[in-house]
This record gives sequence, structure tokens and C-alpha cells, in this order.
Amino acid sequence: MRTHLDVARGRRRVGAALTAVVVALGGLTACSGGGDEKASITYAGFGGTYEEAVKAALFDPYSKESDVKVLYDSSGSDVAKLVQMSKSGSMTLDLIDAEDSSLAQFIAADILQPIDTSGLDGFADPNAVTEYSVPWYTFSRNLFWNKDQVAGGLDSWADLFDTARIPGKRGMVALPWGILEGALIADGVPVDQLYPLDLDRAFAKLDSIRDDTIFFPSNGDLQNAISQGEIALGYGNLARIKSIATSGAVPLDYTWKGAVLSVQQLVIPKGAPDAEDAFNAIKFSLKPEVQTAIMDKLGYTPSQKSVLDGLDAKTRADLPGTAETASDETFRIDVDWWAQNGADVLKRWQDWLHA
Amino acid sequence: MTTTPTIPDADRPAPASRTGGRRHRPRGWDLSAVPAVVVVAVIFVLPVAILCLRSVTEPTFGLDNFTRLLGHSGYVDSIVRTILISAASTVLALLLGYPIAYQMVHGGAWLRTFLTVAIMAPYLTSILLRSFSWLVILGRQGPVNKLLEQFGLEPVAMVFTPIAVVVSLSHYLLPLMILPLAATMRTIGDSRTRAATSLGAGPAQAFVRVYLPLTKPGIQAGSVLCFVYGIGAFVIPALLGGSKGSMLGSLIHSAIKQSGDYGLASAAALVLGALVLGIVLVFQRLTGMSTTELAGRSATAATRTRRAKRSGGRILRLAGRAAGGLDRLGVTRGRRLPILAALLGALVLAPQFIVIPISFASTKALVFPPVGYSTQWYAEFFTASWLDPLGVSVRIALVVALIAGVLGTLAAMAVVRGTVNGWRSLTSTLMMLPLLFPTVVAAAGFYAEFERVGLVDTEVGIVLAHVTLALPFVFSVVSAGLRSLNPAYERAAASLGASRTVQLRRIVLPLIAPSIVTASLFAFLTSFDESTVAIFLSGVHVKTLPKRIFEALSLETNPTVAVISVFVMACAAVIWLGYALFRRITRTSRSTS
Repeated sequence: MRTHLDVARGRRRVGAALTAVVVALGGLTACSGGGDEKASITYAGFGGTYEEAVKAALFDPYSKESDVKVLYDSSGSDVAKLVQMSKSGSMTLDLIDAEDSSLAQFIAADILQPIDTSGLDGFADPNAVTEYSVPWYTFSRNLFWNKDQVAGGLDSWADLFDTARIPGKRGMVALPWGILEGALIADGVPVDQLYPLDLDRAFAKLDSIRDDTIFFPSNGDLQNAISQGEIALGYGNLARIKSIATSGAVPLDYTWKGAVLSVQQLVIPKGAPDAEDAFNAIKFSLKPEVQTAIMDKLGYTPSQKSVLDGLDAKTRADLPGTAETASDETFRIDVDWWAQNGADVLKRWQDWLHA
Repeated sequence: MTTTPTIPDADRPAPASRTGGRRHRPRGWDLSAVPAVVVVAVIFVLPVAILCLRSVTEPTFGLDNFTRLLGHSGYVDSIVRTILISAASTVLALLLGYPIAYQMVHGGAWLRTFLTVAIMAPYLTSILLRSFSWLVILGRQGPVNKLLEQFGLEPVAMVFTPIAVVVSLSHYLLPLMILPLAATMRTIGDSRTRAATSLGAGPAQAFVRVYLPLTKPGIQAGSVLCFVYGIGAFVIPALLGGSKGSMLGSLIHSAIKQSGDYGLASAAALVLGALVLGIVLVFQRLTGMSTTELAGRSATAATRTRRAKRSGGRILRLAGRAAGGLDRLGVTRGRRLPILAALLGALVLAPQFIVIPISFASTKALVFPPVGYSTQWYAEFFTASWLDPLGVSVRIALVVALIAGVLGTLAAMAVVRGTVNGWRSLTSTLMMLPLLFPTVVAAAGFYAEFERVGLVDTEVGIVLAHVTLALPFVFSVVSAGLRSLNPAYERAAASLGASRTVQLRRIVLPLIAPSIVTASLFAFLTSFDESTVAIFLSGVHVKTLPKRIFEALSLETNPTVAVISVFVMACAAVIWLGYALFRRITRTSRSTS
């Protein structure tokens, strides 16, 4: 009789344990699934200090006004990955922060939703607006150096490639656009004759600094390495360079010579779970106070004419794309060329990187 | 469940008559391995198999990915570099580990305790936190370069080169080398060495000609373990290697997560997986040691099954002669070895402590010693940015400990008490597979397959993946507990009419409860500490603590990571002291009663 009871009780306990497991799993699903009542959009940017700045300038005020929560992803420059995500139907992003070469490749791969830009105006450069994208600022990548390790500084792309005269570890983000063009400029190609890119020549020139250069998977990694003093000179996003300089981790300086200009655009991928709120965020990004905040936090040039016109000469003298910072070697990436050749060049670039 | 619980008396004599005394073990435990086997097969083996298949189907059917991987000098370099870095780390681990293991076995009581702590403390610290320590130590502004500057030398770039990877990796692998070495050394008494000395050999000569050959099984097991784990390294090269010290793991990660190039990733994963399985199989063939024993990190079995051959070959004889020369010079006498081992132990332990000053740094820069001091990073840890991931990690680890605890215990019952031999060996191989197979390959498989069913970036996905990684620990710990449990208890209960459930609940579980608790604790820690899978699978919606630390290390120079290291050390110290105190109290109470 005793055994009888025990067995029944034992069974019940096993049942209880199983229930506990099921409930625990169910609880997990609930937590990770629709736990939030609020609407949310997922934004793909670039992480680190950039994400902090964009959060403070754009998304925190936007969330406050619209009650839409914003989640952050840092795969904004992973063009091939984002294209693959969209093609395989597993797009989880609502809003992507794209520089113009990425934008061109997204359009070429046909993974973007058309945006109704009819109600949006006041752009300093209306030509930058496309059927799929809304420009929100102009940025640059500049040549920089650690003043402790490179005494004279840099004046041109040729200096970056001159390892004999300027020794030291070079650091760059492992993205081909801009770097291939820079290699050609260093090799003597005039800025107005860069395109179509002579890839063999560019890669051959890059081979010459391969042993002195570290290519990082993201802007954050590069920023990190510069801050730790591991990098003596290189080429990187201006906002990151300024962020390191103000943090005081290492004494950093940069030049406008050879700077690469790009318009930063906000886009909505096909299959975005919440395209409507993403579009609202895009509209919000054009507000004068957001545009000013982005300029203050990142040091980049507003896309709205009204904001740009209100700036004094001193501010303009340190902004990408203004007449004050233009130089012979400053150039813009040819988005049409990259739209056509981007996918193939990326593959060749990956192969070269691992060599 | 053949017994009918309602009429136990009628059923009781039946088993005895049916078995006729031929078989002593009760039938039926075999089936209890089914849930665990299904979980490992479906969640672990299947995605890896599909990933391997994709290497020939993506983007088009054919061997394109392999021609790209093996035909392009860059990728071949990657493969060769992976092997070289792993081999160098293994050699370094052996050189450092041998004297430490020797003193851990033959040294004085204090030295033994110290070395055990020195080896186990880093072992229990997250690989991410240890990489952080090395980032500080080897950094351009770190203590090593500061020291070089003191001597008027140029600073050396070590971070983002293979040097940093080898140093950090060998530090990580050291316990895997020392445990099998120490296990083998424990089986060797000092009688043989004494005999050699009595026949006129000096200490060095006796060591080289007698002791060293006897420890060969331990050296082999430790080296294979280190090499296999080294090849699959992902976090260390990703954080410390840069583009020059990158290994196959980083290639797989960037191909999947950054380029969406599944074809190349799966080809690289296949190469890595095949390399590891090949090495393990060759090792098994050569030494007769099973996967389970190797993964269980014990070389005692090998020592038992195959006594090391005494003949060491010409090299050994030469080395012996050289050692004899050293003996005659008199350099080998005295107490140099214990001091050396203690120094090495301190060297292994030291990186742990470098983070303490960094955690109080006033700036973000990783300068040692810090320029100024503050407690801001401690304050930052207690914000949602860190506490949320901590909560997620704890929650996931608890569920993993529960599921893996149940599944692993049942599987252990099947293997230890089961009767179908083929099934038992299949079960134990499957259970240990996730431990030996490179986690980065598994993580790539999880990611690729979970993506299809919407499990990427969900807690359920991470739990499922972590359960497979935790099962080997639960399985091996509980199996060991069960083996030491006399089956006569269960037979006695069965003869009194207890069904299998009752036996399990009233006899087996209470008796092996300590093993199950230990096993679940291991499962908890495995999940809590796990970084590779978390880096692949967590993202925007779910972020575990290791993923958060990885982000902080790779994207933001953030001393908050040092704060976490300090907390982990404090926790470990408290647990250690508590345990020591507990043992002392229980021992005293037992002796007084």
C-alpha cells in the first residue's frame, strides 16, 4: 500500500517537475517576445560612442514624443549581411543608418522600401534625396595621427602609405570604399580620374602597407585600439576621432586633406516590422533641434539648409563638406560605380583581408 | 515501466525468474537517455551537419567554397596560422604546466594548495575577463611596455599580433594541460626515481630517463586537449589578435555575421571541425583512450591501460646524457624547482589582480598604473546597461541548469545502469561531443539554423544552445557519482517491489544528490560564463552579460569590465572561504561527536 502511494506521488512529482520546465520555458518566451506593450523599432547604426550620440540627439527625444521604444543594433555597415538578411526573409530591422556607398549597394540589391519624400523639404542639397532615402547629415573620414607617435603629422594619402618616412601601426576600418580610392590617390591617380577604380593597382598599393596596418571589423574596434595607444596613424570617421581627442585618452590630431565626404541617409528595408514608426523617426531627424544636436555631438554637417545657414564661420571651418574644409584631395565616393561593383569588390576585399 | 504499480506483490517474483540470475542489472534505464540524446542530436548535431552541407550547396552546388578557401593563399594562411598559434600555445602551456603539475603532485602541502588555487582561479574566471587582463598587460600603455621604457627600450606592439594571442591562449589552456599531467603524475610513485638514483643517476638524469617517459600519457592527453581547444579559439583572437592574429573562428564569425557569406563560413567550419575530429580520432587510435576519458580530462585511464614504454629513443638518451652533465655540474641540486613552480604559479595568478587598479581608474584609457582614481565605473555597473544583461544571464543559466540537470542525470542513468551496449556508448559519445567539438563551429550552426525558425536573438534559442553545452558536465559528474553507487541498493529495493520511479526517487536520487547539485552548478556556470554562442545568438532583444562584456571590450574602451572582474574574484574568494570554513566546521563536529 505504501508503495502504491509512493508511486502515485512520484508520478505527480515528475509531472510537477515537467510542468515547471514548461512554465519556465513559457516565461522565457513571454519575456523575449511580446513583453512590451509599447511599439518599438530596431535601428541599425554603428555602436559605441556613435550610438550614444544618436540616442541622445535623435532617438531619446523621438521616443519621448512618440512613445515608440528604440532598440539598437550595430550592423549598419555590414552591407552584405543586411542584403542576405533581407533576401532570406529574416529582416528584423526597421531603420538603417547608411552612408552613400552602402545606400547605393542597398538600392542595387533592391532591398529598400520607397519612401514618400513629398512632404520633406528644406534640404541644403535636394539632389541627395532619393526615392528610398532621406539625408540627415554629411560626414567625413579623415586621416589622423597620434601626436605622441607621429611627430610631423600627415598631409596626404601618400603620407599614410609612406612607411619609410612615417613608421608606426596604421589602423583602418575594414571597409573598402574610401580606402581603395585613397590607395590610388597615394599612387598618383588624380582625384578627378579615380573612377572607374583600377582595382589591381589599388590592391597592389595596399599590399605595400599590409604589414603595418591593422584592419578592424568596426568603427568601435578602431576607436578602442586608438584609445589604447595601439594605433599611430590611420584613416577613420571624424566623429570617432573627435571623441577620442576629447576623451583625452591619447593626443590625436587630424587633417582635412584627403578627407572623404559622404552623405549619411536613413533608409527603411523591405520587410521592416514597423515601417510606419521608422518613417516617423526619419521625419523627426530633420527637426532643427535634432540636426543641431547631431552637429554638436558628432561634429557633422546638418542636411537642413535653415540650420546650415545659421552657422558662423568658425563652426563651418570644422565641418565636413563646407567650402572652408575643402582641399585638393577631398573627394566624394562615386555611388553609381559602387552600386554596380560593390558586391564583387566586397568579396575580393574579404579575400584580400584574410591574406 | 513494465511493472504495474497497483499489484506490486503479484509482480515481485517475476523479475528474478525472468532473468534467472543471468543478468544483475534491471532492464529499462536505457530509455531514460532518449530525451538528452534527442536534444543533442536535434539541437547540436543537426545544425552542424546542415552547416557542413551548406558548404557545397551555397550559393551554388559544387566545391566553389573550398576552391576559394583552399585556393586563395590568404585563407590557407589563416588555416596555417590557426594551427601554428594553437601549437605554439600548447608548447608554451606544456613548458609552464609541467613544473607546476610536478609540484602540485610532489610538492609540499602549502605549495600544493597555492598552485591549485593559482591554476583553478583563472580557470573559473570568464575568458572575456582574462582577455581584458591581457589587453591591459600587453597593451602599449601597459606594465610590460612601461617596464621596457624604464630600460630605455622601444615599446613593443603585442596587442593585435599573434604574440598576444599565444600568451593569452596558453594561459587559458594551462589548466587543460595541468589536470591530465597531474593525474598521470599521481600514479607514479617515487620508487622508480629512487631506484635510478641509487644506481648512480643524478636528479636531472633520473628525471629525464625515468620520470619523463612515465608521464608520456599525461603529456599526450594534455597536449591534444590544448591543441584541440586552441584551434577552436574564438574570443581570444577576436579581442587580442586584430587582423594579423586572426584565426579560423574569427573568419567563421565575420563571414556569417558581417558578410552573410554562409558558403565560405560553412567551408571554414567544416575544415575546423574535421581538423579537431581528425586529431581526436588519431589520438584515440594511438592511445586507446576514449573520447569520454579525454574530455573528462583525466589521463589516469591511459596510464592504467597502457604503461608508457620505457624506451625513449635516441633523443631521450641524448637528453639524458646532457642531464647527466648538468648533474655533475651540481646545478640541479637544492630547492630550485619548488621556487620555480611557485613563481610560475604566481605568474599565472597575477593577471587576475591587474584589473583591481584599473577598476578604480579615473579615465577610460587602459593605462597602468592609472593616471587618477575614482569609483565611477562601480557606479556605472549598477545601471540598467549592465544589470539588465546580468539579469538575462542569471535567468537563462537557471533554466539551463534545470533542464540540463534533469536530462543529463537521466542520460547518466542510462549509461551507467543501462544494458544495451551500443546505445550506451552512442549516448556517452553524444553527451561528450559538445565539449570537444569547437564551440565556434556549433555556434555558427546554431545561428544559421535558428535564423530559419526565428530563434536567433531570443532567450529560448540561447537556452537550447546552452543546454547542449552544459550536458557534458552534468553527464560526466552524475555518471561518476552513479558509478560509485552500489547497484545492490536498487536491487534490494526492486526485490521489495519498488518500481523504477520509486527506486530513482527514494534510493538513487538521495544518494547521488551531491553529484546532481554539483552538476547543476556546473551547468549554471557553463551557461552564465558562455561567450561564443552568446556572441553569435544574442543581439538586440536579448543580451547576456558575456555579450555585453564582449561589446564593451571590442566597441568601447570601458573599465566597467574591470569592475566585473573584481566582483567575480570577490565572489570566488567568498565561496572558497565559505567552503573551507564549512569543511572545517563539519570536520570538527564529526570528530567531536
